[in-house]
Amino acid sequence: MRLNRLDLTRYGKFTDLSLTFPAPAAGGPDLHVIHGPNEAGKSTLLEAWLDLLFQIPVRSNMGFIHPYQTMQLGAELEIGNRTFDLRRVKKRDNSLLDGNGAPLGEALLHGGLRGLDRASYAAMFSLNRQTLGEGGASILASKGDLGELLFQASAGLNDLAAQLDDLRDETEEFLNRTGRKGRLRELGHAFDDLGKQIKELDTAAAEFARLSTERDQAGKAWTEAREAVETVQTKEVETDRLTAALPLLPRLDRLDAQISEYGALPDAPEGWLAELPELDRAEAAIATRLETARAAVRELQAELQETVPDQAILEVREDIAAVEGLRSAHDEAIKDLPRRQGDLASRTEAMQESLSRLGKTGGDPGTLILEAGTMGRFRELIERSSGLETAHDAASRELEDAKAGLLRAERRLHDVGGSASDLGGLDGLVQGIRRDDPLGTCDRATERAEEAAADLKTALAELVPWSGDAAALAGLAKPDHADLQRLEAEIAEADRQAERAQDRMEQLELARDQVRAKRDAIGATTVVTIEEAAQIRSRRETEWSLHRAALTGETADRFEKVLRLDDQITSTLAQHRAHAETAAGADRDLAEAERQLEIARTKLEKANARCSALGEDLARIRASVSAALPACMDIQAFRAWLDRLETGHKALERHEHALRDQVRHQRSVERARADLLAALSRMGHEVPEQTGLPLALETAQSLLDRATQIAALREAEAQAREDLARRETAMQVAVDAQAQWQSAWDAACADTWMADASPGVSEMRAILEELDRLREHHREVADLTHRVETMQANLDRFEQAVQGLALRLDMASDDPVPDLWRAVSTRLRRAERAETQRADISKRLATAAQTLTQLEEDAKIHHGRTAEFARHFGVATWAEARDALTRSGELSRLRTLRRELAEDLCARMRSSTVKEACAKLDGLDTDALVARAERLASELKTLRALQEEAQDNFRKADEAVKAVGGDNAVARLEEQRQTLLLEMQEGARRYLRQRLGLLAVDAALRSYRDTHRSGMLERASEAFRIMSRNSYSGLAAQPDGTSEILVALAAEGGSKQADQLSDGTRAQLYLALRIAGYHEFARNNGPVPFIADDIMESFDDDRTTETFGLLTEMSRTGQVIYLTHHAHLRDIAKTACPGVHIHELQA
Amino acid sequence: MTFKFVHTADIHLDSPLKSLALRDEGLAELVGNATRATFSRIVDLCLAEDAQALLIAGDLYDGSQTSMKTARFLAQEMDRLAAADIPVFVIRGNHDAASRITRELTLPDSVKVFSGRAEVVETTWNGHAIAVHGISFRDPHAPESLLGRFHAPVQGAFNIGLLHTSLNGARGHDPYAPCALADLQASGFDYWALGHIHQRAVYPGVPTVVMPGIPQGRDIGEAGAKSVTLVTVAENGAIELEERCLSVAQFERLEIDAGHLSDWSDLVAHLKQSLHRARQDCDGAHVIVRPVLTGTTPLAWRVGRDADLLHAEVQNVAEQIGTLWIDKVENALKAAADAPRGGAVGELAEVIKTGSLHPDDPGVQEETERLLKHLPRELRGLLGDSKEQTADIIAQEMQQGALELLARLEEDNT
Repeated sequence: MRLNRLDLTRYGKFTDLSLTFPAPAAGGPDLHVIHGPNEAGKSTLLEAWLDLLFQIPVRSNMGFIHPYQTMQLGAELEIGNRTFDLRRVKKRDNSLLDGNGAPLGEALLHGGLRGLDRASYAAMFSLNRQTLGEGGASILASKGDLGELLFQASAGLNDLAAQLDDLRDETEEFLNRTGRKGRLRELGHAFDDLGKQIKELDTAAAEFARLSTERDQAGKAWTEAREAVETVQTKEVETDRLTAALPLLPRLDRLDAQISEYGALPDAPEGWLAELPELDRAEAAIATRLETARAAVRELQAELQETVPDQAILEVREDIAAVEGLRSAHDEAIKDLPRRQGDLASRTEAMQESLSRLGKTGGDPGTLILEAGTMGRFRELIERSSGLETAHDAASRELEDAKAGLLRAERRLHDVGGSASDLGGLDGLVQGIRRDDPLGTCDRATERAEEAAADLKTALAELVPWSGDAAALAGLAKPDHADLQRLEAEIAEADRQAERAQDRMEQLELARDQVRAKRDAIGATTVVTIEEAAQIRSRRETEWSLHRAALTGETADRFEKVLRLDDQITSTLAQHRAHAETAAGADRDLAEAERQLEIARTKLEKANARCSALGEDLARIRASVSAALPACMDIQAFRAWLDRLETGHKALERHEHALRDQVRHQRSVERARADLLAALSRMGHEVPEQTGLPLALETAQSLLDRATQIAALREAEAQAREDLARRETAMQVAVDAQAQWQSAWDAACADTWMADASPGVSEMRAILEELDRLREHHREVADLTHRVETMQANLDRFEQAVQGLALRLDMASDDPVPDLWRAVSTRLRRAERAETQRADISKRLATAAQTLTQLEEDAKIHHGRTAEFARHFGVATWAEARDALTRSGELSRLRTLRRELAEDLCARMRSSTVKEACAKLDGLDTDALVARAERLASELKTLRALQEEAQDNFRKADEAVKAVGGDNAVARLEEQRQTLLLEMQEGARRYLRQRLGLLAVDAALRSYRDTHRSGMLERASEAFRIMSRNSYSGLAAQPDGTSEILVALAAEGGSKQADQLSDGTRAQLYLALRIAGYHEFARNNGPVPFIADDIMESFDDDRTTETFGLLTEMSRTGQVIYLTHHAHLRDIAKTACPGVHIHELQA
Repeated sequence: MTFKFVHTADIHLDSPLKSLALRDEGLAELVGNATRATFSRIVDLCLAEDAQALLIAGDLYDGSQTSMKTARFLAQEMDRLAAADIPVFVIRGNHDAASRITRELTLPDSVKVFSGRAEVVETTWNGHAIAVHGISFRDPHAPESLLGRFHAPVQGAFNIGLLHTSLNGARGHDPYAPCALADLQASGFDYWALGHIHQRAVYPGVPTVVMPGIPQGRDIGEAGAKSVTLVTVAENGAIELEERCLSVAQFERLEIDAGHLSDWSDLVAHLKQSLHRARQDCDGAHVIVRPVLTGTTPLAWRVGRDADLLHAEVQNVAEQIGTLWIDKVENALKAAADAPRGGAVGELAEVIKTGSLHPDDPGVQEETERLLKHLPRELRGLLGDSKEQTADIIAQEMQQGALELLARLEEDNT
């Protein structure tokens, strides 16, 4: 894949930026350097490239100018020899579009990138300073493991070793190396604990079976013991029975004897004996009670005959009650009548008086009293009249006040005198002058002018050695700033070049001296010429021929001598040749050194010439400014002087400006003064021509003040006039209201007896009061008259009734009526009392007679009963009958006792007859029975103890079985145990997967190493050698157990492990590995663009150049883009790769 | 008069629920001992419905259980039915035959446990003549059909057969008293009360054949609503079946298609939504869910790596819901399957897939043995029971582990 063009249409800070990457010449390098200062957007560019390839992320931070929905990138890409015009927009789906905006599948790019995803591509094909540094550090972490390093470099991953270690540590949290720690162990303990708890709580089926058997056996034993106890208990009861029955026989005999003593006595019927005490008591009481009752009847009959009733008065009892009803009215009349009559007389008199006060003596009050409506109308009019009076008074008083006020205002206006003159705009003029304050402004301008003059003076003094006045200063021209700046840069560059040339020359001289010394050391050697050698060789041949012919010792010796000489010559010749070569080499070196030196010298001279030429340029410029400047002034001093000149110019300008201001303000003061004087004279206030502005201003102000006063007085007069008019209107209203009232008054009087002479208000008020009183008197007189008449009638009715009664009762007499009435009343009460007494006596008599009859009945029944008793026992009297009855009772009791005893005996002996029982007891002895009972009791005690024990055993066994219970505790624990098992299982699976995964990854890395070792290591080694400028001859793999370690081979011999390299070198080693990784990928998959972002900041220039060489080499395989903000790297890149494309990115 | 009875099977009393969700003590408290609670509810149902009988077609317990407390609990529950005059008909299944507690237990007289020989109990329910046939497993294994041993149907009675059977054989199970549905249908019975298979099945036709399924699922393998069957027989002989869910907790496997997702937060949101919906769709009081992520997504690698984070997210949602619990999150996602990964990572992955290390490698053996040594006895079979099985599992785990690890290395670097 190749990037031909990248469009940042709407992305980050960019709008419609397009970068074109022209295709290289065939076989030429495809290297691009994008240079841009900080903030130019290099990082954005890289991000854009990734977003183009792999979609713009959902939450991109590149949407700060162009909103998400408008973001767009574009590119022309070359994929597999075809060119594609693509666009990328921000969308969830179908975000990759072709040139026509139709959606394209991601597969195109995916294929072009050989299946790399964003992370992998970014890791493998983009590199920056940080990843380079981390790469170096990760070499250290991997301890040089070759497999890891090769993989890391290819994949662009760092920190592989540390991460693998972390993962290993993580697994140890579950189970550590020794198996003594970790989560698994904790879970295992908990699991075992639960197991123990279950064991304690649970009852297994087998255990349950054992418990059941035990319980059944104990149950059986208990039943047996119980049965033994019951047997002995039965025997004991039998013995007790016999012992108790034995004493009953003698008692039975005794009772039989007592019964026979009574002989033949008739039995008393049931219940007679119980009646005996009651009959005894009745016998004594009945006679006494009969006598008492008869005496009482007699006494009451006598008393009744003595009481006689007064029949006459009782017959008129109702009439008397009617008269009693009239009595209270009569009594009241007697008491109240005189007082009421007195009241009536006094009221009548008061009424007459009232009439006379109204002037109508003897008149009929009924005609005089007014209707309520009329009275009301008068009262309302009276109330209104006082309000109208008051209003009228107030209106007339205020009218007077208003008249006086008007007079006063007219007088004051007159006193001030004269009318106001026309002020003709004086007011506006004065206000304008006060607002502008020309005097103050003028003073301040003067002050500023003085300050500027002082500044100018100082600036002139600063310009030494030049001297001159302000005019001269203004005449000084400044040289062109750009020219000067360029000149300065050129001088600096020339100086630097001269300095560098000087250094270079010195270095070269040193080198030349070394070379020369070396050459001198070689020196000269004995010279053997070819001719001499040929001569000796021919001598050897000659001697050989002689020796061959003679074969004597002498010839042999001679031949040997010549042979040795020849050998020596050959050797010397060879030596000489070698020496000569060395010397020639040294000579060449020397010549080269000299040549270099010569070049350097020329360069130095050129540089110096350049310096002086620039010096002359400077002098020319300086002279053009001023001849006064000394020749020794260098560019920096000149620049400083020019800065001061700038300051001087500015001071001059400020001073001139201040002077202009001052003059302007003085003029405005003068103008104000003239305007004011003119205005005053127009108004007729002549003032001397030389009057100053302040005085003129005062005069004008006093004129203005007076005008204001007159205007105020005029205003007051006008107001007073208006007030008077208003008061007059008010007065008229009050008068009208009074007239209206009077006609209403007259109308009201016309309807009454006062029509002929209508009275005034105060009169009417008195008349109305009197009429009120008259009405009151009139009503009272009528009322009292009626009451006096009623009382008199009541009195008469009562007296007539009493006298009527007395006549009917033969009690008539001349006594006053009250006495007569009292006598009648007394007689009636006495008659009524006698009547009540008689009724009472009759009632008591009836009761007594009834009691007597009852008693006689009872006595008859009693005597019948006692006679019956006597008849039964065959006796005559109650006393004898009584005795017989008592004895019969005793006999009956004895017979009952005998029967009970016999029954008891039979029951005890379980016999049906006494005879049978006696037969059974015959021959038994109390003592023997007691002894037997004791023996049985002791036996029973033992058996009972045994039974209790058996019962206890059974209970315990039964409880044990029941204790098993159906609770769920065990099941719950089992469930917890299962959960722990699951957790362990889950953890174990994960642990194993991770541990085995680690092993598998290790193995895979070894495999990777073996596959790539040859190709990558060689290339990395070469790259490292070049980058290190031969400080290292390369890299090698060194076996170390199962792994292999990467070592660097030092040029001076020996190998260095990763931890022995400097940080910078390690970073370069990492870069070398990455370069090798790049080639490895490209070889297997084809190229994809590689982007490096300022990775060589820590490299020196030489290594930088070499590295650019390596990048150039890479770019022959695939496109390489290098981003930088260092300007000088452009030159280095050009040196290393003349075909490089430089792109400038503007800030 | 109609009559009704309750038919259940495979109670597996006191068999524990198996789920990592029970690590939550709150849940363990709520649904602990669910098999018991469910059995009590079955008894409650009989009482509430005034059923004429309870039929239990085998597997009251797990075979391995020996706790008499389980048996005592069963006896207590049976007493409750006895007090209400509701008879119980029980046959023993393969698990019961293996259980010792079966032999030690005394049950009320109202419980009829059929013996290993075919028996028939004739009785009357609500005025109807009923014949209940049954035969128990004598041994834990019954490779032969038991159907031939049953008595002939009683004439004039409603004939019910109790049989513990794997029918034609369920996959992954040994055959237990196998028999063909057709043979059951030809038996002349009116109702076949089956047991053994934990998934409910009703076979239409005459007679009615019902496999009620387990009433309380115990792990994710027994997912879905579980029930007992309430059978009502009308005067005219029509049989009405009602499924009554009485389980305390319900397991649910929740397949979640994440194929269309590529963003982590979208995945979490989608999961959340699915869980809420799952809760709404489920009637049970407590649902224990295993979300299974499926589909092809670039998130596959990350889900593998950040399983703990994802679990925490899901757990959080579950806590908000309150009555939904997470068993565990299963990752069945596939990374883009057909597009091979490029670069060195892809190459290394290929190496791993071809098996970079043999299961017999001493290093692998050492790791495996060290782990197994520290596992409790119950987990010794973690890696299978045969040498081949173990080698397979190890190879699989190793590859899986290595790929996960690779993904994680790559993620950590970006």
